[in-house]
Order: sequence, then structure tokens, then C-alpha cells
Amino acid sequence: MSRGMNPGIQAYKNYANAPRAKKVEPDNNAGLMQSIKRIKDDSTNMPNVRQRAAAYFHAIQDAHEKIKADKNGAA
Amino acid sequence: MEQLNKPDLNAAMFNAPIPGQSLTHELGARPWQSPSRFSTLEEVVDYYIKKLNDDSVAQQVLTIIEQKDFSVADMANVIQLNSVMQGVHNIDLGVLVMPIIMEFIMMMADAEGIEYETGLDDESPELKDSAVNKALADFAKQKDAGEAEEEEQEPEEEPVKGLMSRRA
Repeated sequence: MSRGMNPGIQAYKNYANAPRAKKVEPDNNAGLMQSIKRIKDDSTNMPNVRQRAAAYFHAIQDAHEKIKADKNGAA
Repeated sequence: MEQLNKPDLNAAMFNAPIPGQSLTHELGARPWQSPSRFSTLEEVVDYYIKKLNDDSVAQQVLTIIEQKDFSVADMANVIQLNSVMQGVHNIDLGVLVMPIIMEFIMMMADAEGIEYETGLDDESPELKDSAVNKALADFAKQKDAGEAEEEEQEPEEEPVKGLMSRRA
């Protein structure tokens, strides 16, 4: 597959560089599902759909970072 | 004329779809032409997280990612395009949700200790070894070699001697 044909690559970089929404900043101690639920409950404060998408992305990214940190700590 | 009488060529010519054939189906009969199942970002995010959390789906995805021939970005693109074709959501939501799918797949892979190719780098070493890139590199080498040979074959021009030039 041609790399130039994949719009997800640029979208991923945009989300990664997007400012984090303070009101829904995921709690590191909370699970991923709880973080997603918090964003969903607070979606009325974020009418912009891209902002909400970035918030979901950041919640998953935090969970991902936590898994990586745990793995590194265990090793 | 001789070529037209060949049976294989005739078969290929008449088996091909005629121009506009894809538009002859009744409008709205295709899944992507009717209203999609989910229309909000929240519904689509829920759908993908549930789907990717399914053991059988996760196993299939991680098996493909593990090969490193297929990047996470391409995998996410295929997953969302497939859902668009099935009428699950529209293409706009698909593009919006694609980075979320990518990050979720990468998280699953890291949790399982699987190495993967993100597809975010401009030139990754794994994809550099792909067949297409190798063929392109070989072609470039052959082209350079051909040009070098042509330069070598050019006859050396004898120095121009005028009337006033010194004799050897």
C-alpha cells in the first residue's frame, strides 16, 4: 500500500501534537475504559469532534505509555 | 486482425465490465449508499474498542502486525475502510477514528510484547527491504550503469588543428 495514500499517518501526528483537553485529562490511575467514559460524559463541553477524537486518542496513548513503563520497570 | 481472432484476447475483451457498469446498481442498494449504522464519534470509538478487545480479532490483527510486512497505519486504514464498505460508519468518521485504532493496536501489541512497524516513519528499515523498493533500487542501479557505459563509449575527439597550429 502506498504510504501517501494513507490519511491516518498525518492524522496520527496531528492528534499526537494536539493540546490536551484539561477538563478530561485522563487520570493515570484510572483504567482506559474509565478514562473513555469520562470523556464521553464530558463530551458536551467539547462540541468540536476533532477535539473529542484527540481526547480519546490521548486517553489510549496514556494507557499505552503506562503499559510500556510497566514493562520497562519489570525488565 | 489476427490478434482479434485469438480466443483468449476475445474472452478478456468481452468479460471486462463496460464503462459505467458500477453505476447500474439500484441507488441505495450498496451498504455505503445507505445511512450508516453509527453516526457519532462516541459510537464508533465504542464499536472499535469492543471489536479490537475481542480475542479472536485481536489475535488475527496481532498475527499480521507481527510479520512486520504490514504496518499498523496500513492495518488501521484497512480496518476502517472495510467498515465504511459495510456501512458501519461514513468515511469522515473513519479518518477521525483511524489514529485511535492505530494507538489501540500498538497498545495491544506492546501489552503482548510484540514488535511492530508503526508506519509513521518516512523510511523504515523493514519497508526498505520490500520487493517494490528493491526493484526500484535495482532499476536505478541499472540505469546508472547504462549511462556510465554510454559515456565510456563516446569516441574521443581529435584535437582541432588549425592552419596556424604547431606541427607535431
